[in-house]
Amino acid sequence: MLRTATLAVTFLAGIIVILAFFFDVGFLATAEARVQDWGVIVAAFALAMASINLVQVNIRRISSSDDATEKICAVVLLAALVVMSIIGLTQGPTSDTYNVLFDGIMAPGQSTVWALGVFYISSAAYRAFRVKNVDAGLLLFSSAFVMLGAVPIGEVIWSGIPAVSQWIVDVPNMAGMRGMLIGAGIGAFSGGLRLLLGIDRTEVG
Amino acid sequence: MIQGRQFTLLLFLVMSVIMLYAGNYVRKGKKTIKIRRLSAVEAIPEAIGRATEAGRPVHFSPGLAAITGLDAPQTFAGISLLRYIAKLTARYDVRLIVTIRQPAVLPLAQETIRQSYLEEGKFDALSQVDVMFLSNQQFAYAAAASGVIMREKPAASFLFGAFWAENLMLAEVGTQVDAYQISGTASIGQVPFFVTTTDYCLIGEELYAAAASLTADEVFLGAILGQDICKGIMVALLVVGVIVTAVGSDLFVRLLSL
Repeated sequence: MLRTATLAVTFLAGIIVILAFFFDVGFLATAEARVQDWGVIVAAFALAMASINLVQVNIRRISSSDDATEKICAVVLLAALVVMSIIGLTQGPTSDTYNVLFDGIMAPGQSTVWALGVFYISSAAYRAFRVKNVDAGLLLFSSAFVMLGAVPIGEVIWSGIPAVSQWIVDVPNMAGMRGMLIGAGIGAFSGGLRLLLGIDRTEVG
Repeated sequence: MIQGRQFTLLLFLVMSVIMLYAGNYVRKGKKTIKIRRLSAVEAIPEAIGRATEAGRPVHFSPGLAAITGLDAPQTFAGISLLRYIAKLTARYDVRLIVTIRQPAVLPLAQETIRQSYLEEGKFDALSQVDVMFLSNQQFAYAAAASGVIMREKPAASFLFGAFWAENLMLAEVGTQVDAYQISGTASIGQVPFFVTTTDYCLIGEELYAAAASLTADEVFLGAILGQDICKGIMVALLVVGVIVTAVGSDLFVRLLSL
């Protein structure tokens, strides 16, 4: 019964959104807006569940871990969760205090992690560029042109490098990417259709 | 009908009919489908076997996308693979660690794992499973998941779903702890990173086909047949479109703007 209801709700919500995409009919637009609202409500419940999970996992880390650093990290995380929740609930998520904490701690932290990516790229490139077979050789050869084409010294070495670099990006690279994109798009469509029609029931248990 | 979407609707209907017909065709046994072996999928039991022998856990990430939006099918494909992986970890008594970015994916992953352990008759072993919501912020998740991988040192790490700039970070940290890594994504811009850093990678549509290759279910196999027919139609449309446009006709431009 529960499974049938889940499948029915999935079908109904999906078909409303699809029809509203193609047809400009008043009641469909209203129904789509309602479905989107329900989506937001479900997401809010999911966030509450996720927060509970976060608290459970970190309390377990505090109580059972032998590593002092791990315990401190878990305490800091829980403290941040409590402080941000209190400020968000009492002053709102657009208040100055909330923004100062977010912009002053969260945003620089995220930027730092993002910036660390350059080191990961270097170590990954080092391994990828070791010429062990023809494929790796082609990768190294094309990458060398693309990298040299992106910096001024490339043109100094040979004036044709920027043009070759651009051709690699625009023609063979683009052709491969678009081929993958079409395949992935059709695959996603097929998966969506199976879910919508209840043919694929793995997600409803 | 909204202007500019008539051709899309036509394609939507044609593709839907083809996929449903193909599914039905295969289910009735009118055609035997043999899909090519996906080395990444075949390597999954080997990776879990290695974790069993090493006595180390297995890490799984269903990607960073939600269950709504354009990338949602990738999340569902990742969850389908989680179902298979959880069955194997239950069977071999290996600890499973799942890191989650999207809150809505958390109950989905928990329920999928619970079902898998039930089906394997290992409900008691569920205590060995850690499904962790880390953060819904992209790089906070990346940092936290990297930390989990560094601390827990999984022998195998599976990254199946939609990933963005953080994918290299997760894969590189996996390499640092000497994890056997299998990835899969249809986020085209991220495929090169996974190909160069993980042991096996499901590229684009292979992620969606992986579930079919695991189950050998006629419905899934029929969907693969339908996908191939639709791909043929798309290629034909591309070729005809190029020729028609090259000879100076605006037929395709008008058709697409219908």
